[in-house]
Amino acid sequence: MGMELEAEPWDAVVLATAHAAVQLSAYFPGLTRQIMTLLVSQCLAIRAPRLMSMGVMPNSLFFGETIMKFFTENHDYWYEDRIALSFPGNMGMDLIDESEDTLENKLQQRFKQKEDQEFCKTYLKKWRDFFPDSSDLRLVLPFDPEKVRRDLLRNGLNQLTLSVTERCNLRCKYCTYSDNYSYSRGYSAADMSFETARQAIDQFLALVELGNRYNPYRKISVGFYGGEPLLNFQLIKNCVEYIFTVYPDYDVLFTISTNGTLLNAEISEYLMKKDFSISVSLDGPKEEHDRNRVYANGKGTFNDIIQNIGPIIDSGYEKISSLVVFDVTSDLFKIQDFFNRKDIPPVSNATMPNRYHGCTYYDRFLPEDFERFNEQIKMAKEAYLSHLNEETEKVSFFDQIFGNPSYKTLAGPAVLTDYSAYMIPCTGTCTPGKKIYVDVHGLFYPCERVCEAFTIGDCRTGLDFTRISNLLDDYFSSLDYCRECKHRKLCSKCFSTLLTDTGFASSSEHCKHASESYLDDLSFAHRIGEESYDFYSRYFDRSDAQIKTLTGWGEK
Amino acid sequence: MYFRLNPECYFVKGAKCGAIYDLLEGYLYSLTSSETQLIESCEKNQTVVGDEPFLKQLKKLCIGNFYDNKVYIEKIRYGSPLAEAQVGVPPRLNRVFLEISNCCNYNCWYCGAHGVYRTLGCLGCNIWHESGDFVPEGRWRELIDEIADLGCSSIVFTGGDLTLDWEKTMSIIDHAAGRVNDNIIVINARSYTEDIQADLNGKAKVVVQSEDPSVIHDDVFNLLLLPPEACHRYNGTTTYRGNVTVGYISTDFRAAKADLPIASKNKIPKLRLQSFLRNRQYHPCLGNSLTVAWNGKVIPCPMIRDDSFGNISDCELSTIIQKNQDKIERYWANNLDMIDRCSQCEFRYACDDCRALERALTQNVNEKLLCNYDPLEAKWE
Repeated sequence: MGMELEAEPWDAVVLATAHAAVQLSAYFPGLTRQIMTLLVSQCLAIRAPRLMSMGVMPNSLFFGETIMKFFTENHDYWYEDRIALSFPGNMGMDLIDESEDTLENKLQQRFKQKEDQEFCKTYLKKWRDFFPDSSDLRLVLPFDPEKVRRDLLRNGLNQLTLSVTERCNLRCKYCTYSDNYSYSRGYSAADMSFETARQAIDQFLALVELGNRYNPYRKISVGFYGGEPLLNFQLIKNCVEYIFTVYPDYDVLFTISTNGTLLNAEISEYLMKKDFSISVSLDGPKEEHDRNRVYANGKGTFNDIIQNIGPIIDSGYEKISSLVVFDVTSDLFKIQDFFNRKDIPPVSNATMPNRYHGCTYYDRFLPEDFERFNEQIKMAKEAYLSHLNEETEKVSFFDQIFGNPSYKTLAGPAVLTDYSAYMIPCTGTCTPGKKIYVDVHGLFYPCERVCEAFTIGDCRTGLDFTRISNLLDDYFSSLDYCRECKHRKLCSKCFSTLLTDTGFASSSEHCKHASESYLDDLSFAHRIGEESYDFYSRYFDRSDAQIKTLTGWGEK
Repeated sequence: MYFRLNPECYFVKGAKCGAIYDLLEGYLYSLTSSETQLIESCEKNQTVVGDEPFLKQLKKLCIGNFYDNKVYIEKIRYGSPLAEAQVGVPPRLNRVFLEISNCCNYNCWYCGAHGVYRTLGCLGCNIWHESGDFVPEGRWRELIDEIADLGCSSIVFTGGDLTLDWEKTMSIIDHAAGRVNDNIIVINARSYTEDIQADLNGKAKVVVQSEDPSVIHDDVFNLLLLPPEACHRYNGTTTYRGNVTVGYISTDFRAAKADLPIASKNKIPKLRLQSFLRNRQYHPCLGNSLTVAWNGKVIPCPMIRDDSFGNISDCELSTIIQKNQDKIERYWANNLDMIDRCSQCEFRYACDDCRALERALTQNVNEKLLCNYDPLEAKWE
């Protein structure tokens, strides 16, 4: 059993300071929110001793039941988290830890036929040696900065994202930077300078150079993000030219996430010439798209985007895709039909507005909206199931919202191994630094979704591995629900899910109802497999082909 | 009614017949042609018509079960396919052979220098009449650091007679111990002594190579090299004692083929889950492996010496791997699905294969000579 945690007085001071700093920023108009939160994060980074008594977690994090039951219309199944595999109910895997004495009795109660009892008995015997010892599942805190560094040099440093501006010409209703999200920055007019961008690029590529020794196969991308990045197009051009001039030996993939309203002929020509992978935010047909994606004056943006991407599509340029956001009032069938059109870029990602801790976006919807949406999801799933065996090349909207999560549910978890071959032992989070997001001021963050209290370095001094280790410690210290959780290997939670202004919300607060969603995912993933025995291999091929087209990375 | 194999049981189809691989028990079940058709249909979730005694037998063997409705069986695997399929993941380099010497005072008749064909040549010692400069001792040590940073878990140190300059050998072994998990050193039986064993204790496992069956050491791994005519004594098996592996040497493998099938019914090793899964993706021997020759050349395996990826005297190993990614991956991925004859064989993911030897004998990298199974007829010769 884990010990009770005792916070040191210093920790209380630091936490109080951190909370206060955010509150106090309102009283010091001379200090921007960014500077104030930077001060907070500095406090957090230097605090000692740690919030938790390190070494306690290993004994308390990973125990409890590891098996859960789910159903499809055809069968019941058991998912066993220790080995991350599901089994049909008639294999009796829920009895794997049963003693020899009680097993016989339980099998007799469950199965009428002797041959079924014998099958289960033999089957469980077959498996017993393969179950990992529970000690394999322990997490050792604190994280060692040197180990984190080596892990990142080997497995990380794939992506540098430059937030070239915080300006945006749109006011999308679900925007993460709107007032609907308590723990992200607000709208701003700040631009990144070339000097900041140059330093960030230099820091990133210096680490990549070091990392070649650990991973000579690494593929790297430099992404441009905002705000609307094309509002600072000159900086994008300067960065691209800088990399071509100073780092000619690096095969860098340039990416951009744009709202598409500024993709005029000159900009499109340039992006295509430099082989950019272009992601355009497009939510579906006009009525769907314009409901949320509007200019500051409230006017819809659909017509402008379609007009802008037309010449790119007509030219045969393939490195363009759509990023789709849908919400509980979306018409999923219309969106599906829309993205099946040949003149519309394929969907590379489709999500609902983020439900981060502190999100109020969903408060606007009525219970009947959710009910209608759930009905629609059911119908869409049935429609998807009825077309599983059709040969299609394009990855559809339904593929992204149904096929892709199902594939990830089955192919994501590490079967028979410990939690992951990489540094992070559970939940779906990355090691901060796998991607580096740089804000307009040159501060480094784990990704664009993590607020400014969690810097992991800056463009002048580079990645701070001690800070990353501290961040990992804090994150895993917040995972108090994992000990009860039966789907740790399926977990997709990450920093952005649990973060608040000053730390992480405890997972028990966030994960209480998560089981239902994972059971649904498992159930639908198995339903697909029941309906189409080779769906997943075909889906992998299609999805892989799309990634290769969008990135130009032909081989691993 | 439906019937499906269990998660740990894979069905593999050959040209005529199929096989079921039970990855937990390690058994390989050979199927007749009609059984193959039946299992293939079952694995596609098609209904079973009538009473099927064969399927009942499979249930009794605990490798499959009946279901009232269509069912999804999630097959056992190892690790996360999603993580491994990501673009730009590090190379899966699991083993490196380092030829840290090319000097020897013996003149074994089967030495690589004489061009004699042999199996398991990679695990033995050889010298080679090749041009080039010796890699300095310091560079070998640097190279070990590079290998460790690439995540490689095993190094096989070979020569030459590594006892000739034992101080240098031990300096290199000492450097590897603690940096790489699994270090193996190959020593000729004539040079092997208890002092050498004592020096290596806890630092490297020892393979003692000998052509004399009476020289078997209990506390090391023995590589026993035999001519074809002697192989029958060992019943065609690769291993005849726990710590002895038999390799065959011959001046004419073609002539010896009838007597010496490298792949034969008795020689298919007991299945191992990880080997099976790996063999579906990589060549069972060449996969995930590289060799650095005595002169610094990086080559696919100790016995394939005419194809080089670069030289570690000029640059780091990671740079060579980076520049030759496609070529190296082609060697690694050249599994038995790519070998014309093997691709039609239902036992292909359970089988060992020496590409170097097959290539030398057939002059074709994708041919198979040393096997006595005909997959088209599903018959052992």
